[in-house]
Amino acid sequence: MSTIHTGAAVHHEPNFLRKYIFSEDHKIIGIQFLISALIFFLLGGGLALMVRLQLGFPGGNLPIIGKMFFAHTGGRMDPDTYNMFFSMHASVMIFFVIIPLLTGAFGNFLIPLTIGAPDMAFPKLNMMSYWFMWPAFVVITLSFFLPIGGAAASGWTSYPTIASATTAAGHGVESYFQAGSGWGQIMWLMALIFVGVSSMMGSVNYITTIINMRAPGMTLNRMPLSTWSMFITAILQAMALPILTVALFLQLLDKTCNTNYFLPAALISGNISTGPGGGQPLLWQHLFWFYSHPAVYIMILPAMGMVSDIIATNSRKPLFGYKPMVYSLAGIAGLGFIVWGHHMFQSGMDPRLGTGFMVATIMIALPSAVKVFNWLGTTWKANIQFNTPMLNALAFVAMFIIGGLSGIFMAATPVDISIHDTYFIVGHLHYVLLMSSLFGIFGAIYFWFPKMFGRKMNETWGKVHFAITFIASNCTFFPMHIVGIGLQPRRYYEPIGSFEFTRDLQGLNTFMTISALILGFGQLIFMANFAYSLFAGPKAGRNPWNSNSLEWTAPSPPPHGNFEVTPVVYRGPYEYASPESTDDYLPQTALLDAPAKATTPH
Amino acid sequence: MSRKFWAFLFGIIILAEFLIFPIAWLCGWWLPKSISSYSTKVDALFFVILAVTAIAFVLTEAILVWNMFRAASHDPNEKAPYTHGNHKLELVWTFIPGVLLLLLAIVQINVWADIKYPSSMKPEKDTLQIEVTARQWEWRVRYPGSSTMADWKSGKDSSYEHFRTIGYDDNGRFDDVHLVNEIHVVQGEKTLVWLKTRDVIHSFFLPNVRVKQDALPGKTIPLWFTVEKRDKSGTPIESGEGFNYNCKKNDKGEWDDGYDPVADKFNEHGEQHWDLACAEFCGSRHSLMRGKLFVHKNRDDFDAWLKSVEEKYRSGEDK
Repeated sequence: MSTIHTGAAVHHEPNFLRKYIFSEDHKIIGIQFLISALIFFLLGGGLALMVRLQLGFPGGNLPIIGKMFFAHTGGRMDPDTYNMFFSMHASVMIFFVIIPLLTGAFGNFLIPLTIGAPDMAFPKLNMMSYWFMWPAFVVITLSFFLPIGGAAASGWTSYPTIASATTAAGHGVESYFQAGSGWGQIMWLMALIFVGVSSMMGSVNYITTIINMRAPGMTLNRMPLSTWSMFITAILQAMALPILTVALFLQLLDKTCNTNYFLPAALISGNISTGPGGGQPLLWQHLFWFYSHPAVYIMILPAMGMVSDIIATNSRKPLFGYKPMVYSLAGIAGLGFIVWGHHMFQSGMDPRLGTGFMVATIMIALPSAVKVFNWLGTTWKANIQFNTPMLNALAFVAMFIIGGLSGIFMAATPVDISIHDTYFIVGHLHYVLLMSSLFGIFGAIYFWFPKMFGRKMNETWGKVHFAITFIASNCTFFPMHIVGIGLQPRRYYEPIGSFEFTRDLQGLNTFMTISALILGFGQLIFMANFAYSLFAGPKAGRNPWNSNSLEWTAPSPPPHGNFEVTPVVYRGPYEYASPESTDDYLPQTALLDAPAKATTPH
Repeated sequence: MSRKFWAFLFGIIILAEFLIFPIAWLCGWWLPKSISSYSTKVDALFFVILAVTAIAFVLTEAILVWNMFRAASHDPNEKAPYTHGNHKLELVWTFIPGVLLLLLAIVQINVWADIKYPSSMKPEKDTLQIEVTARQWEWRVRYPGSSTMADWKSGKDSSYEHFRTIGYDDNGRFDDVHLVNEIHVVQGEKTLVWLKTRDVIHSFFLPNVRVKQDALPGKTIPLWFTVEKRDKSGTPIESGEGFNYNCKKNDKGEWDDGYDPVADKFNEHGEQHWDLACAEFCGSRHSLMRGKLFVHKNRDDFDAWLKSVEEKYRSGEDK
């Protein structure tokens, strides 16, 4: 067998700055995304707790933090601050935490390693994709300190006209409609444009790398599902992102040059007409959701892929239905492009269009269901290893079932009339995004941490963190479905107030807030475990989980260039419990002399 | 820690999440009372989906927990069965949910069409039409004056277009009646609302009627509903009793801006009306943008009420 030596042997060691800061190494870039996103995770989580504090203890003196942050109002959060909190919570979590973690951190780290490539196809572009995040990091962080208006506060959806109207030509960018819709909104738009550019650079890189740089023998059908999911996600991103970027630029022009793309004539803002008009606010919603619905899948597909790998490895059993799993990933991605209108059933879009979107949306439950059934098939009669990555992956499956099923309620157009923009949708989206994606991310961090840093994370504290997160997040988010059935509207500063229909729901809201606080502070265990294990965790060998895929044949952490010799692949990644091997796993690179026969009957 | 602990933890959480539904129903944390002609259909569909998803939920979660429990009670070194899947099984679990989902999609098309399609928005002789204009943060409602009502009753077709064609800032007819945050309708009679907004997107949300429709700047959007139940206690609304407390004009004769929650007297009549809320984020006082839906027992009662309000305006009493 001939081997091809990678550049690693002849590569001279780069200096510190080129090795760890302006690195072109996909592993370092992945870790840079990981660390940045985890820092923003703290910010996004903090914002969420502020939202929950107001909902759990409305109107009064906020416990503990009231006098600290809202001294000028006697410990009472004012509505515009509340609006800023929920808007920025969503923006930060989506664009600075979940997407960078899944595609930025794990996409970067895993793709070359799992396909046996020394690096990405375009290492310099890869470096730029990380450093284009930095203008976004700086701009979005600075926007919190704006003296007038503060950060964007019109919801992460930034619907015109509340987000984009200006008072009138020559009156500056602030509008009377909503605080934070002036410079805060402009900085929000700029930050997202930079995030988009960064993601786009990542996507083309991932697609090229996967198509062109697979090791000998690594056919597409031998790729692990995590790589498949990153591939499909990258295609989704590359196709959907231009639409968002266009929309963001148009709104930016509306705000700065009074172009009125999204503004109809003669809006009245504080008794001043806003401008010549001629635009259409619904256009923004179409453009925005044309990206942001696929983005929902960008935020779940990589987690699905990684969870499939974790589950197969720790079930010590081949993944059930590899091809159906790939087809259903592709099916979700394909259908994901024609369901954006389900965010707009009540928006004033022609309701006959809603019927078409409803059918497509209902049918997207099918590939999701197929995935769940195959995960259940994989764990069926499996030899499940109850380690921290596996527990998080199992929680992903258990919670994704809930998130998937609750989606059917909103997909049904008539039922959506009741529960649209209520807490039911908030519960649903958190079951998909937090309970599923985040458990997937936690599982992936625990699983690939040894490969990233050469050390294992602490198992005991990992399990404590998992148990707290699992219980507290269910206590926080499941009751949202219940208050949602009570039709409590979302984005309400005072949801209970003097309304008749929500009057019994305060108790549940307070319960959710207390659970959210436990959930939030429980994450400190994870942070501490992460930081401690970086330096003092037990050393991990090449293959601590006895896994099959290629990344586990490289040293931990892999050197620049990843593999000592280019690996040659002989089989798929899920040959666990194979009768050909005496071990219960069979790496993709293992060369068997002759087809071994199963000697022991099981 | 025993490996079975995790199976129990998953099992308990899932069981609790199943049981919270009957508990919530018993505690009244449930759908607000439904009062309109189609709210029962919407709720029925909700319960159908709840039943279907409950079965799917219990089945899948039970298998997952069982798999965990089984593995935890087996030897951790036991080799798992070597299987890559099952083609027949894949076909079965693709086909059956596929058919179920398709059926679920088909059964709701008519309900949706009935509620939202433009064909349901054609005004007829007896249809009560009103114009609702949302603004930060109140609902401005325009009712037909006696001249418009007379035209409708005589079947003068062109007058049906009155509220559809005029802008929210048009003067309209001389005797149009303006109110704020009050929707008055007649029990058992169809009401057609022409929804407009003068600033940002709002959403006209009557929880008990199961009506939700965004108001879109630059567009006039129709919606309809028929309230079948009048009010919770059966307390009659006296003829001529309009609760337009918030409807004031300033010295220049302009409508006063803003809404003062302290001066909100709605709750004095808590038993006689239903909530109107805004469901699309619209700014600082989004959650305070509330109005009330009043249901009159018959058209005569409604007409008498409207006439009294009209007369009040003429005499300048409303200042």
